Amino acid sequence: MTPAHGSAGIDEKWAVDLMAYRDGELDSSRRNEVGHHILECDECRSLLRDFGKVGNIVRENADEDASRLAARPVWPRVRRALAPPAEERKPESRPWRTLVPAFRWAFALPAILLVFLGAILYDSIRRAPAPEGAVIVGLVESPDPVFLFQQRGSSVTVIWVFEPQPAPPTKEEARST
Amino acid sequence: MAPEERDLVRAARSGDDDAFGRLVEKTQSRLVRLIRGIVRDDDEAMDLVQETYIKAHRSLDTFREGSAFGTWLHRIGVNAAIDHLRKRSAFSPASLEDAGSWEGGGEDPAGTSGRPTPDRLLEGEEAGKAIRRALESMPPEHKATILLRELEGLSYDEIAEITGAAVGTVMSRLFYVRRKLRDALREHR
Ligand SMILES: [Zn+2]
Repeated sequence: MTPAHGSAGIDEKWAVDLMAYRDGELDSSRRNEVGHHILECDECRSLLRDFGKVGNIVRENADEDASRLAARPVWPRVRRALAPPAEERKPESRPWRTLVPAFRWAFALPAILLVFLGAILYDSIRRAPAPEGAVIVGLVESPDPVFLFQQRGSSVTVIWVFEPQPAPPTKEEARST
Repeated sequence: MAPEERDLVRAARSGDDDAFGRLVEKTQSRLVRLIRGIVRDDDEAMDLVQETYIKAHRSLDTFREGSAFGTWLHRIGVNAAIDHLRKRSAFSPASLEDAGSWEGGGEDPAGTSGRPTPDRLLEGEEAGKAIRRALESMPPEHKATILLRELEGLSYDEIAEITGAAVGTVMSRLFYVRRKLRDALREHR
């Protein structure tokens, strides 16, 4: 049998082997070797007992700590964390909503263009000079027809003809009738 | 993986949230115990448990069928807890150097050299408190390693897979922690 440890006591390598023996991690020949030695050695048995005691206390502490947490719900918290926000929960019921983001620019661009074109059109109308030759008239009183016309060079275009309206009766006329 | 668990994982992967809820209920007590043991705070532990399940739900597609769901879940949870502790506080490099000192010789690692042993180990409540205090000051990876071994009974290979460390590192961490905890149990007169 290979000497286990000398009279000076358990050395490091042997202590690690004892630990591995306790954990069932030695191959069969080394396991037999250590097992035989333990039967004859109080010191090794004492160290193994201490390792066992340490393990027991670690387990007892852990069980005690975990027992305080046993009542705390885990799955409900996890499920809440996994659930998507309420407004995104049922995309299948309104499939068009999922299309909106994709076509957002397709809707937005024409709208923006319309606004710009509208603004440009309005500005150009506002600034446009009065047609050449046109006369802006407030009120014309005339017994004859009034022509609204546009003159370009020698050509004249009649746009509208206002027929004379009979003037409303004056106060004297109204009284005399 | 048990047939029922396999069916639940399949259903959850195809979008069945009730099946995922069943998986949560079946695995939560062990996950809570493990993560609470690592972070040592009730509220932080519950937040991390929630985070673990959310991460698991989002990465169900990456879960390999045939592997153990619990191991996969513990890997996510342990890594989340270790990351959390790293952000919360930095551990002094001295304690980590100390962790490797048993390999280099010199000081007797197990505190078991041939000297007379008048010290006795603390008992009961005092022992529990001493172990709590000692675990408090340990690096997160060391805490995770001892808890995966003592609570879950995992093999060194399985612990290595979960923590992403080499098997030799797992052994050295386990030995370091057990030595420290055993020292903490010694009654100081
Ligand atoms: Zn011995």
